[in-house]
Amino acid sequence: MSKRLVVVAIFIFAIFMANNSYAGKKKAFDFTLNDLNNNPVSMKSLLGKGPVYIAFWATWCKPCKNELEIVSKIYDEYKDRGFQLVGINEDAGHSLGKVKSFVKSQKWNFPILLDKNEKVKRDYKAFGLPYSVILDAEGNIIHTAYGFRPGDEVKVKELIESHLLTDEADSTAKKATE
Amino acid sequence: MNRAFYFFIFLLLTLIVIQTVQADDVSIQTQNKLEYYLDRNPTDSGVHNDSLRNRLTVDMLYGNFYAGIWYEAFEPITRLTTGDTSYEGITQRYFGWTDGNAEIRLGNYYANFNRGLILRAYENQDVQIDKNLDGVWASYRGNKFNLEALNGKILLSENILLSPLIRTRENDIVAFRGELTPISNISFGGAALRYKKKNSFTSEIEYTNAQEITAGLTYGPFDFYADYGRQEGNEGFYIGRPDLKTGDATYLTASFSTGLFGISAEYKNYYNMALDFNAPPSANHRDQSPNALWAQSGANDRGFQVSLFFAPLNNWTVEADIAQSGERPDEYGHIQQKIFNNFYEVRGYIGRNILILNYERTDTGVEGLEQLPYGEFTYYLDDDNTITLTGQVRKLERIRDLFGKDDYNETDYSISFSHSYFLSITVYGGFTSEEFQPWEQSFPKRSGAISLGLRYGEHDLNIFYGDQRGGFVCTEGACREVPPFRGLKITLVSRF
Repeated sequence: MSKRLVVVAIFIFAIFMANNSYAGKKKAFDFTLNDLNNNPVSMKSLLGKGPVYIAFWATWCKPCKNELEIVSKIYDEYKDRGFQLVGINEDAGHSLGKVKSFVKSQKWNFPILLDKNEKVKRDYKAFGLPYSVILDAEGNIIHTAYGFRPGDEVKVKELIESHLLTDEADSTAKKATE
Repeated sequence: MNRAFYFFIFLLLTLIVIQTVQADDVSIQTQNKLEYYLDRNPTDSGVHNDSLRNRLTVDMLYGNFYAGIWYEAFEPITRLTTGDTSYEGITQRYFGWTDGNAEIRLGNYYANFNRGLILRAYENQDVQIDKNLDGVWASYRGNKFNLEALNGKILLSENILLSPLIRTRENDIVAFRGELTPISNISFGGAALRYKKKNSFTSEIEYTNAQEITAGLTYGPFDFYADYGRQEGNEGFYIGRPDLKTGDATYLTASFSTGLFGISAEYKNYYNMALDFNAPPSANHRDQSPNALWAQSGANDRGFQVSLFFAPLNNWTVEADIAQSGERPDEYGHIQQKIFNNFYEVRGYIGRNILILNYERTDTGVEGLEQLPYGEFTYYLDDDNTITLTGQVRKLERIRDLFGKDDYNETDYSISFSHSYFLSITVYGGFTSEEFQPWEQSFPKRSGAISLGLRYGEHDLNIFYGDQRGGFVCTEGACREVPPFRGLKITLVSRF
């Protein structure tokens, strides 16, 4: 009986909070991770130019590969207008050895960061893969999603386009991230 | 008043706090994952026919400070394990400070040193592992070095074989890790750990000490990495040598990567490294170690894996994985489990439609030979709408006894329709060459299921109804037998 009460409470809570989504800005957790060449890349260094698409992925995750291949085409289209795409790899200790050889063969031209101890995954509550987080240029979370199916890119593209910076917004975002 | 009442009060207070303090310098993120299972075919008397798991997480950021809390309720179908494993309450809470380079955290946390040879305290619900620590964790990231230190009590299963979900938190870990990167393509590291454990039979305090050294080098397209760990104090229970109190582990990788192809090779050699809190790499495409049947990562085996990624044409990739490993021999002549695992995949685009074909062959020696051809094709009806077809055959040549073998086959297929971001409907079908009754639950030769997925804003709802075959699930080197399921599953993930 008590479990049923918990479920009811959760639903009430969910419905109430759904109506209050985006009541305040949701700041993303800061992180610094190494890329495939061992150079540190911080989340803050990605901000201030435009929307940021963070994709949590692993080499063993089939839909993750679909997602990165498809979103990388959007990246090619909008990178000159400030759109940032970053893949955070979650192979961790177990299949980390094959990540670089896989990525290089894919010819991806966006940064791949290694979350070796899975801390960033836990900070972002990515309890399953694929998991994506879209940030605005100031580092606020504007959208999150579990899973990726071909065709989802239509919505992704809409979100990216609606958060590209105009010249005026560009200077505001740069000030906000300084 | 029961705990559910307090939980309800907790929710309301959280809600009030969130609504009160929402401001530019405060950020609150909440996520709830609800899973409900209704099994329409329980056979054991006294077995719950439904199961509930709920996890609510609330995180707050305020400047450089953060705090979080997890509230969980879990009532499993008792067939999955023995003993009363239901729980409900606050399972994790933490508070911390970070400026991006330095971080200190009090409360619950997970930890992983390097490749997990001496420390990997992690969670994986697929194999029902949760080894979170409760204590203090600190790290510092400098230009040329990283430091990490921790002290805490680890959550462990009381009995990993009989009651993996009954957990205790009694034993302490103190650990330290450092890494030096004098130039960007060279790194050296070291780690040390001390584990204080109360012996459940003698009640005496026992200590395990472990150390680890690592080295990495990047030179043009070449990458090399070496990791060596050793332990002293942990008995060799898993290898039938309780008198043995020492063990060691070596893990090596080398890779060569270009724009056309990449190749990586891994080598592992572990002996008596099955600690309560580590998980060395399995070096196997299906993430399975020879002795992982113990629901514990393989830590007494030797083997290798070679992986090749080849992209001969634009948007087409060929992958080949060849892995072989076996348990280290012991002096008593026990049968040593082996795994020969090969995996091949072709993946690419026809226009914008996606084709995936793969084949996996696994020979475990003791259990038999398994072959798994798989195909998947996704076709775009238009920009928003896609149809995906999948098909898989599992062909098993089973070793029944010393003199005989027999064949067992499973065929599964599915068709799925997806409308961009909002809706997906999948119909599954399958048949097997024989009816089987694992876990005292019958599963028919012919099975079917339907699944509906809906996404609205930050909410994901999935409803599954039908039959799902059980099997052996392996992730991160640890494995678990999952029973078949016939009934209704509802999953709702909400983020606020």
